[in-house]
Amino acid sequence: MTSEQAPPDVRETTPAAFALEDVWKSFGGVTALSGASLRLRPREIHALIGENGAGKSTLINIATGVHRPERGRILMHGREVHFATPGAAAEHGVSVVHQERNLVRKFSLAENLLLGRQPLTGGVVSYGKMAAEARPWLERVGLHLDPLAEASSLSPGQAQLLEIAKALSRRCEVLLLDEPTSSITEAEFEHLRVILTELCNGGTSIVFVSHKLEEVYSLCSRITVLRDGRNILNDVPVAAVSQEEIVRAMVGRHIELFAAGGRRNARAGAPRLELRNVSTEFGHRGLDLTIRRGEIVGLYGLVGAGRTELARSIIGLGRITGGEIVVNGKPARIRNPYDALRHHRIGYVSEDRKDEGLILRHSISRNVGITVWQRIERWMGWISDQRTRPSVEPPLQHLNVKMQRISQPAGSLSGGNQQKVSAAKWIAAEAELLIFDEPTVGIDVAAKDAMHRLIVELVENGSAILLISSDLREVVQLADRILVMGDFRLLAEIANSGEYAPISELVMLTITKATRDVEAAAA
Amino acid sequence: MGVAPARLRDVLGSQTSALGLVLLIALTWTGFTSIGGSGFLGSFNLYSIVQLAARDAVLGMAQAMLIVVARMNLAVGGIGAVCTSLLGYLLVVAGTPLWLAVVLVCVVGVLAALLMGFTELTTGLSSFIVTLAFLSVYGGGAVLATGGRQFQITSPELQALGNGTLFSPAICPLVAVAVVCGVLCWLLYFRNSLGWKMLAVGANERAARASGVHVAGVVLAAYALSGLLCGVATIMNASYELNVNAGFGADWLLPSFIAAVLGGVALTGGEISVAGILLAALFYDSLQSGLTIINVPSYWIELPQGLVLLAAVLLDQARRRRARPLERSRGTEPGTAAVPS
Repeated sequence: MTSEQAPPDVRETTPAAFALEDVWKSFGGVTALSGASLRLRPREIHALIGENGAGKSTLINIATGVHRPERGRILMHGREVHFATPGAAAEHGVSVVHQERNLVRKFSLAENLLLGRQPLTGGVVSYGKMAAEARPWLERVGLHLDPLAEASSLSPGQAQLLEIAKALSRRCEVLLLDEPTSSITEAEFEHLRVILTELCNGGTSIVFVSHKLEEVYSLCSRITVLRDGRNILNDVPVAAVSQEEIVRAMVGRHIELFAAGGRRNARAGAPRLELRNVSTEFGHRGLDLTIRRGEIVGLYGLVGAGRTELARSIIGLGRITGGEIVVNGKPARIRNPYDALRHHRIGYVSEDRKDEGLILRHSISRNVGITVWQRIERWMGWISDQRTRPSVEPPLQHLNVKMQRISQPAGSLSGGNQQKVSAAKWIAAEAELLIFDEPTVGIDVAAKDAMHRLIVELVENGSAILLISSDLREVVQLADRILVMGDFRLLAEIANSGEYAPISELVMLTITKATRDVEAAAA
Repeated sequence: MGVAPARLRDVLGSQTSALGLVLLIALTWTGFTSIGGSGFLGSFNLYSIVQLAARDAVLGMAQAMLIVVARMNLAVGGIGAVCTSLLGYLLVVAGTPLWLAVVLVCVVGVLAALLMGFTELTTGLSSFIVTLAFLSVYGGGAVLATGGRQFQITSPELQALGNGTLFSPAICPLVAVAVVCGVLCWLLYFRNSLGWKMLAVGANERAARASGVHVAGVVLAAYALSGLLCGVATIMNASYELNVNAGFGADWLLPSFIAAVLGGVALTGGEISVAGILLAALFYDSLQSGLTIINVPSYWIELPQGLVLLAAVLLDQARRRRARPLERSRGTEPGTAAVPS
């Protein structure tokens, strides 16, 4: 283990608050961890980084008692502990907040927080007591809300905070956060950063898993990078490594981070899709928007601004209640995605990869081919997997999807490769307008880079792209124009120069100004 | 993770149920022969087993058509009652030629099922509720329309189909009908884009819709095919019963589910096993016949029927659980109470 060979640090003499040492684990012959370690000092925020499949989740599952290691030790303050169950880990003060939220949406904040241990008065749940018990925990994470409000009213960022409060209320000393920021905005991250720093000063040690390196730099003091179940960077100060070094440690080769934003304005062609004074069942009013051939239009906004709803209305998953949609200069009526695909060659890469983007149980081949069956079938619908290969294989090869066989279930792929498959079906369909909804959430750097390259390549071949993303960096990196949406209206259109600092400032200003206007109007 | 097991599942997933069923049938046959004597495997008894099993297999396929798209058809028997009444009326009262009567019965089966499909799609109610309601509507309507009268079918062709023999005195020609239906089903699900879309809609309707599948069209097609197979089952049933009435179909629901679910059609939709359906029907009717041969009172036979369905559903669930490691396992932490400080 490298930490033993490392030069003695002042803090090395005090035992780590929590440590996993030389942990091995395999699943059915596939090695997930081969001698991985994680060392967490008291009161530190430690970044755990790695591509999908590098072993982060397995390591977290071992740390929280979900899996048991084949070899290796778990230490708390220098003493070896054994977690037989997740409950045992929780009793030792180790809690995890997963990327997928486990909130009961119809329950109140307090009920979610105290789920399974609600205070009883004579056998009946006492709401007053429950609220009183929950409030201090909610306030500790900065949720100054009514404890009896329904959890469904929370934004994704707030839901994340509620999960953290839940972990804290179980007297947690070591908090593992598995990609807590994958679906929250920059403003929400800022808030989370303040809360986590406070918690850390209050004595909690935190492991922070994220794909966003900017966050790691602004939040964490030390970093561990895993690749193929091993430590590539083992417990080093974040300040001592550059972003390039971290990326190289993760992917094992040099990746040139790729930027194309604001470079191809001149090449944009005829309008591919126009919205004229469009309103929708979701509450959009008077939207005007044009997307031309060969351009990437970025659609940015806070969560809940109505971006996904707009995309869904365009492809017919939501109702257009007024105005006009014009495709290639002709008025179009798109009643469902079938119309969008058949008649207008419009495709939608859903943000909800697991439930809407893919049929996890079915093979990769079926998942990609689904958009082309109708085109390649013979008389009476005759078709075979063999016949779909010429349409299905090239996009998969092009996107370099890592798979054993084309017949393996899509659900057995890693997140990044699943996202590639979800995009591949629209390449197979030769979509001319493609809406990407949060295309890189929860996927690793290499897969993210591949998605970015794909998007740019598609427009260079004449497609038009609407890119919805909560990652402003990504939008600035790729888009030719940036539309800012707030409260189901388009607030501004910003020509993208490709420079992050001035553009992000402009975007944020637009949003805060709009929010202030709304508040002023309400007052 | 889980790649090697996935391959194993790919191969076994569809075949284990079929292999298991062959074993189960062998076990039933040897079991009943040793208890009830050689009469069980006599050609007379085998004949009556396959006669029933052929119809039940087609009923299983009728059920599977909707289970595959993550729906169900509780009205197989209701459609059967309507179709049986129509067939009886056409052949006995109206004197319609047999071929035309057969076509009309199938058309009415399709229409009756399509009506349920339209109802489901326009109201947004679950297929469970819609088909349950139509079971009563069709079943009751058929009795009302015919006034409960008996139709004595005399068509020699129909009689030859249901009571003749094929190749051997132990094989009823209805087996050929079931096998043809099975082959067509296999072609539908394995070599036809409609079948592929049905599987996609059943496995994940949202994803199928977002991928440009015309979900409403696919669901209606599934209803139509289910109704068509109910029509075929009606003709098969009438061909050996001959003396028919609107009460036919009342006992179709259980065998249709047992054949489909025990045969390996996932209740969650998106999976099919045609061989499994044929074998499950054969197993079910072997069990029935065996229990009769060893003199189990008829009112006792319903008990093992129910148990077989229960076992089939549990088996289906076990299959699902085995398939789950695909998704990454996530831990949940049971809470330990704490008082805020």
